[in-house]
Amino acid sequence: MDKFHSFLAYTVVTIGLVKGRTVLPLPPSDVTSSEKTSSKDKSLILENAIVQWSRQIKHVLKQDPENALKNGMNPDPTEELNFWKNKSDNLNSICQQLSSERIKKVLKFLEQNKSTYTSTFSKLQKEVQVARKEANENCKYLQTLEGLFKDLTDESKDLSDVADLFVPIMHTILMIWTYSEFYNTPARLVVLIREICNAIII
Amino acid sequence: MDGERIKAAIEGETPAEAHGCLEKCIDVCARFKEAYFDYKAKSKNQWKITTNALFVRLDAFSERCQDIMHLTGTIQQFNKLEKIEIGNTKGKTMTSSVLNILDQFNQAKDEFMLVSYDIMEIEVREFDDDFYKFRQRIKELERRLASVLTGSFDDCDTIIGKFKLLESFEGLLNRQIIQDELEKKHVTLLELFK
Repeated sequence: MDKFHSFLAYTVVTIGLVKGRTVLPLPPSDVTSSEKTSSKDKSLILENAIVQWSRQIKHVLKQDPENALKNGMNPDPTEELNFWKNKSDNLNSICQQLSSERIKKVLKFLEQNKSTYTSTFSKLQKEVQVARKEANENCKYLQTLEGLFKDLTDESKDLSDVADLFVPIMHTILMIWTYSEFYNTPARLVVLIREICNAIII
Repeated sequence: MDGERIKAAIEGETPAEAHGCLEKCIDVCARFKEAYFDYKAKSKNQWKITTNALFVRLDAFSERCQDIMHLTGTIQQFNKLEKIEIGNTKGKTMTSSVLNILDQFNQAKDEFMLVSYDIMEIEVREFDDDFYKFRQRIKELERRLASVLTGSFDDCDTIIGKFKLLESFEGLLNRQIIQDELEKKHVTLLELFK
């Protein structure tokens, strides 16, 4: 039965990944709610679940737009837009899952049983909130560049028309830098500028 | 902008078109950097980024464009040899050696164009080696051309003939090696005015 449950969990996670979403697998409800399992066993199962979630969430938090430029890949700046859109969608969905009744129940149970995992997990949840805010904000601000990047990557455009886009693009980037709360670090800018260079070259 | 188009332009005997296109590319790269630096200045020193890392690919691309421009420029100059005809006593032999040089040039060019990679792909490192070899061959041809030119120059008796000769080599005269050789002849030319 255990094996079957872990198989189910993997399936759920994989289906999520195929759709580009992080799905936190729920522990089997029949085990956790049944009277037969001792609370110690229950803790163990739930703790396992929480470990798995932590791993999944950390993986999402670690995602960095710079990775797109590694391994000899030369993506254009639409990649940066897609990255933040995807990350924000993903983190929003994780938050939604974390606030679902069943996950709340799991956390409550572990808290009552004084599990050592709860404090680290709640720290992680706070990190998720911060990262979610960042991703959502970045996504929102970057939207202002969407039209310009579309023109920039339009291959049918004449080179001199493309060159006319540079000033508005840089202007928008500076505006974003000035007004946004998160999109104002050299790391972000480097990725964006390098991707724009790629768009010019291709 | 891709190598296939440049290749097609060169093989389709329209290197001038490729030349103009490359010029535009370099200009576009420069304009992007310009826009970046303008706004870097406007950011009041907040954009503290080492520029090298940012523009590695762009600079490499710009450099490659210049290399290819050098190539298309050379092709245009050498193509002019086709129409050259040198008069005077040794004219026939001179003309045929010019045509021979042109032949060898075309051979070098065709060999260079045969490379299997996309010549505009900046990640391909072999380009630099191949291009260097090509340039060495061209230099050799230039030296030969210079000696043909100076030989014919000495052969011409009249100042008009000498100028006509220079006129027909117009364009190629800008090439360093040929120019160096000709400089020695300037004095002779001036002497004739006396």
